[in-house]
Amino acid sequence: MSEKKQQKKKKTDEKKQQIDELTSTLQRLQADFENYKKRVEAQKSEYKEYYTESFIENLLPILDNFEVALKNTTNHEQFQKGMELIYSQIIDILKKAGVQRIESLNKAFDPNLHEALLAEDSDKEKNMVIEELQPGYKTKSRVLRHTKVKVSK
Amino acid sequence: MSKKNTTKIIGIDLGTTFSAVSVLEGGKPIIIPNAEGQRTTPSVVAITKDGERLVGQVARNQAITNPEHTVRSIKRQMGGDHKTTIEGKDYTPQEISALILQKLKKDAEDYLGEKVTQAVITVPAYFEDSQRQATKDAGKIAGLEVSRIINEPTAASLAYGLDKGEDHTILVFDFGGGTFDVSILELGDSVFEVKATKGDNHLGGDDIDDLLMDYLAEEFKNANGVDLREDNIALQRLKDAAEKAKIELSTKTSTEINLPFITADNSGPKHLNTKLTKAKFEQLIEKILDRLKKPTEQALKDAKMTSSDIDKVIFVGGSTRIPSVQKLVKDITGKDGDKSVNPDEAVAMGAAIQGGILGGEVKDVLLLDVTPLSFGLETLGGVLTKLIEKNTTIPTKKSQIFSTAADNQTAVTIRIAQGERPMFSDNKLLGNFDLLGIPPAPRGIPQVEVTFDIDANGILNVSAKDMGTGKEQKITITASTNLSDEEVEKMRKAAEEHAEEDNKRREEIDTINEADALVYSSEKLFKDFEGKVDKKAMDDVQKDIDEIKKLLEPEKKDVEKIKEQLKTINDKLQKLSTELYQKAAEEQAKTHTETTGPTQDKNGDDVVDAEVVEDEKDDKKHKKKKDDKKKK
Repeated sequence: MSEKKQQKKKKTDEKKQQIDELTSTLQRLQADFENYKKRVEAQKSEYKEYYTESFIENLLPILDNFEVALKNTTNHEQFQKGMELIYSQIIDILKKAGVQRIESLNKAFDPNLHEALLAEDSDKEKNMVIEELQPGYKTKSRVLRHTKVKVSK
Repeated sequence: MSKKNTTKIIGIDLGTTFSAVSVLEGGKPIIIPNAEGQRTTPSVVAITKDGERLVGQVARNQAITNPEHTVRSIKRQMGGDHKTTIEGKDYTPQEISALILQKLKKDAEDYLGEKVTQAVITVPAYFEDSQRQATKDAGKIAGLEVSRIINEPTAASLAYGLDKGEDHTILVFDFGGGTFDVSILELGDSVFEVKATKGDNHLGGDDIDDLLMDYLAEEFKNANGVDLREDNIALQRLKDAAEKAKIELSTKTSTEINLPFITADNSGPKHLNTKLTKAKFEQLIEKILDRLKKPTEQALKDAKMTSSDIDKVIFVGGSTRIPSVQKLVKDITGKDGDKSVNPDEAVAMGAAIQGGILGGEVKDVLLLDVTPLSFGLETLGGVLTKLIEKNTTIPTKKSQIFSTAADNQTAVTIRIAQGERPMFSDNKLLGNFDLLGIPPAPRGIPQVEVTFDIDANGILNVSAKDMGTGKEQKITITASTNLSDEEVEKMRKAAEEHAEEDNKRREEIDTINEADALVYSSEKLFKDFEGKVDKKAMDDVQKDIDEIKKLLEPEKKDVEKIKEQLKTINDKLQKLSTELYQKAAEEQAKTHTETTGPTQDKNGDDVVDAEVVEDEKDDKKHKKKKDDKKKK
């Protein structure tokens, strides 16, 4: 009888130890996961900072060009030409970053790309973009800003 | 694990103007971004002529072209018998809401990569039974089993962790884009009871944008005689600028609104360029603040309470980011509101937490602590080398290999401290022990693995093991987490206050350590150079090294001079090395052997700055090799 009891106790102790071990393993795994998440978060913000900085570096020459332009405004024609060149520089930078201007004028209205601010009767086909009010931009996977448009009714 | 636990229960904030969905990930709620990459989804539904169902931003974008088939703010109709007729078919508010829920469900499934079948959905505290039932039905139509409907202020309280701890009274101030609700909750026996709720169903951040826009347009009209509100393009730009200005004024005292070429008249193009101060902004929104004040006071009255009965104030809704709104709440309740959880996301997060509790995911065993301060040991030059950084979740374990700093050093003392200051002595000493019997060897050769292990109860075990002999020594420190919040705060503040001088001191020590290492390694280096480089140049460097030796002798060292000297020596050594390798290459070329070019200096071993400190009185120190061994 007492032997049986002893055996039972032994078994309970074993189970207890097992539970303790499993609990400890679970806690450590959970803590590891938490710490891993924190590390990933820290890395993410590091990357973000890095990308922001490298993008800004691309903008600096344009800033320089604006400064020069603003000092040379007397010849209107040349000034305009300069502005056009700076403008195309910016477009170029955006292109390299994978940014595209969304086409809208005379296209069928697409709420995935366009945001209708106005709808107007028109002799055109229904549901066409008849005026672009503010241009929109997208990357490969995401719309950065919807094109604000006027749509034919 | 039972089947019930294997699928996640999502939390949904089904809002009047915006909705959000959240889920527990590793015990913490995270917001699930929608397919468009946004963290909230407009609560707008549309059905096109072709029968296509649009939800969210897409529905909003086409609203003006399809007004009779676009539904906004359906939440206001929940529980009523309002019907929306689209293309001859009647839709109940439940059916419209179900379309929103369906999108949120799909977005959650795409994010999680698994089917979602259960959800906790929030409703305003004032919702009646019929409205709650309608919300539940909407879930069912969307294919979701609604595990529970909970009150929005309750969800927010959960997100702030207020269900733990003692019983108290909470005021939840929820001021979003289109609605305003203030609720007073009482927590007793881990259950929240709504004591009173008041609000304004048609008041939100959008009203503030409109006020701001009107003010700017009016100002521009007075100065230029052109009303920007009559020009659609200008109006759109003005709207965006007004919202941006509002957000900026939450953190700044003034903002510049700059809209070049906003319009043109006979005299040419016109620009809008104006400054808006916080004071002016606050004056503009005074009327809105007034409309917030009355319901808040009324809620207190309805709950038969005064401001002194409120223990805690929490903020929900994006518009509570406006400082004058926060100030208004403080003026009424006498308390600073807690805004540590993103106010746009708190309700959805709280719903996810409730889902976790129902699904059995949130268990006590998983409530883990975080170390508020770093733990480390003293290394060469009296520096604290941290092994476990602050804010690390425990239990955790970290090992690193250190070495001796002097030749034939046979013992190391491991001194352990807690804190953020770089110099060991500025931190709280926790304990120390010796590891003896290290076989005599040149410095840098012995490998001593030091392990810090903090268990779930905050007990710190530190062990040091000589990898050569297997000899081990350890200490258990139980007081490691006994610091009170005030003490922790004090130590953190001290680290901030002394940051500048500490960094300088740390840099100095690094320089001294570097110089010390150079002097030691130069002997071996010179043997290698012997006969291979110009003797005169070598003698010259030797002289410099003798000089730096002298600089290292005094108790108080001239670090600037050491730094200079160090640079001189390194430059010269580099020249010598180049010469050495060039000669070697020439020789190899002579024997027509292929060469792979110069390799890193053989002595290099990546000697780094952290080293275990000595145990003997003299300058026997340990050098650490960079060998951050990771143990499981």
